[in-house]
Amino acid sequence: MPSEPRLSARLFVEGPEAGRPRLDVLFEGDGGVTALMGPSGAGKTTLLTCLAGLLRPARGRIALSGEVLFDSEASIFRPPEERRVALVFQSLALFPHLSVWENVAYGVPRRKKSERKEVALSWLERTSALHLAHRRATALSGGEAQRVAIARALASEPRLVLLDEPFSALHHELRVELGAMLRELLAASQLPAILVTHDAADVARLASRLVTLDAGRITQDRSVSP
Amino acid sequence: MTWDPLLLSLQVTSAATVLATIVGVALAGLMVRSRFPGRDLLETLLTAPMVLPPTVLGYYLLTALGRTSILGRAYESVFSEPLVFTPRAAVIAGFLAALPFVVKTTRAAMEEVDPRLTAAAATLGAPPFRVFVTIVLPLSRSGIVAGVTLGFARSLGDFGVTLMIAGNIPGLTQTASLAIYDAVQANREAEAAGLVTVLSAFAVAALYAGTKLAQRKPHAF
Repeated sequence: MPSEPRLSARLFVEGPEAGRPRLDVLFEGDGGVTALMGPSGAGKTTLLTCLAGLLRPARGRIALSGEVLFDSEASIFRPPEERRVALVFQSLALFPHLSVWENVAYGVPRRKKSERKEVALSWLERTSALHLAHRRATALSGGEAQRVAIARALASEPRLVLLDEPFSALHHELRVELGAMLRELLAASQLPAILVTHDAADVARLASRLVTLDAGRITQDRSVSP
Repeated sequence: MTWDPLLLSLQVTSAATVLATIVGVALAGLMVRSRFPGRDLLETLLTAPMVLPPTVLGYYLLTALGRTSILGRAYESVFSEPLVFTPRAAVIAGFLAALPFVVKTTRAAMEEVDPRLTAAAATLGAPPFRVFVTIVLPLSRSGIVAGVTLGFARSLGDFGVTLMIAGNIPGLTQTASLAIYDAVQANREAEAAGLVTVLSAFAVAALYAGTKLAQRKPHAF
């Protein structure tokens, strides 16, 4: 019996013009990092927001780890807070009124605050950002904020990690360093991850598979060696 | 001169402001977070006290809350006393005066909160109410503070609606604004001047404190 892939998403999102959907794809994947490339407006961010539950597709079905998150025919739509799909925004979206550790602790699924803090600090250690724990989230450099955003996403115990051009604002050396860190963390957790990027070097560093989108459709899907 | 009207004004305005803050912030949150039909109509009705002649609003309230009205009779059967022409009626007048300021400024502040922050909180597992309390409220704090101080100042100065539904009963419902009118009518110049000075000082101090508080950076509750 063929086993279902860990992530299976059939998505159709209407565009502003009839007959030209914003997104019309069947996307499947298991563990490992999938890089998602394509020109702007190709539907990359739309795909991520559908998976995270921030956008409801017109039609389709999303199943993750055997659980149906969305099924238009069965009228199933699990809201983002029930999906355990972490999304690292391009803007990072750190909470400006909270400290670094409070940001990371925000999504830790533990009841006690002391336990949440403990888990947050351990993730900050893994992303080499422990020394920033008590700083305001607004008082960070681009690379520091990036480490915190990755720690916050992973600390929420996701089943799928989505990264929307997380390195776009960083200079070359930092991209290499953070890319290596991210690859190790994702490999250790064995989580499936989707990385939107414009940079072929990011793909080569991080991904085991490359999917190209254009005008809402998948035009290329091949494996690459990381 | 007697301090009773001032004391009563402070009590009535404080109660009215607390009520307006709770109701106003909840209504603003509801209007920002959910798009129910009639949302704009609700905001228009809530804002109406800002532009309606006080006598018109007072007339509506007397009709709705008077001793022969359904609400008035229901209130009387529970509390064994009428609602109109009591200090509680003055609180209702002050509440309606403050509410539009709280709702309008709070809603504007909440709409300024970056939607990516609330989306991020949701993907981290926070249900809507937790997002509201931990992200939206603290990040719109300055706006809420500004709205509450404006509402406090406006409520402190309410005259017409208070007169219509609470009356001008010395020692019971005569607030400072009403006492000034009485003092002027009776040629008690010194008393009028004293009350005017104190009320002006309160209003200016409230606005100044509100401006200062609103400038502070948002911080976690």
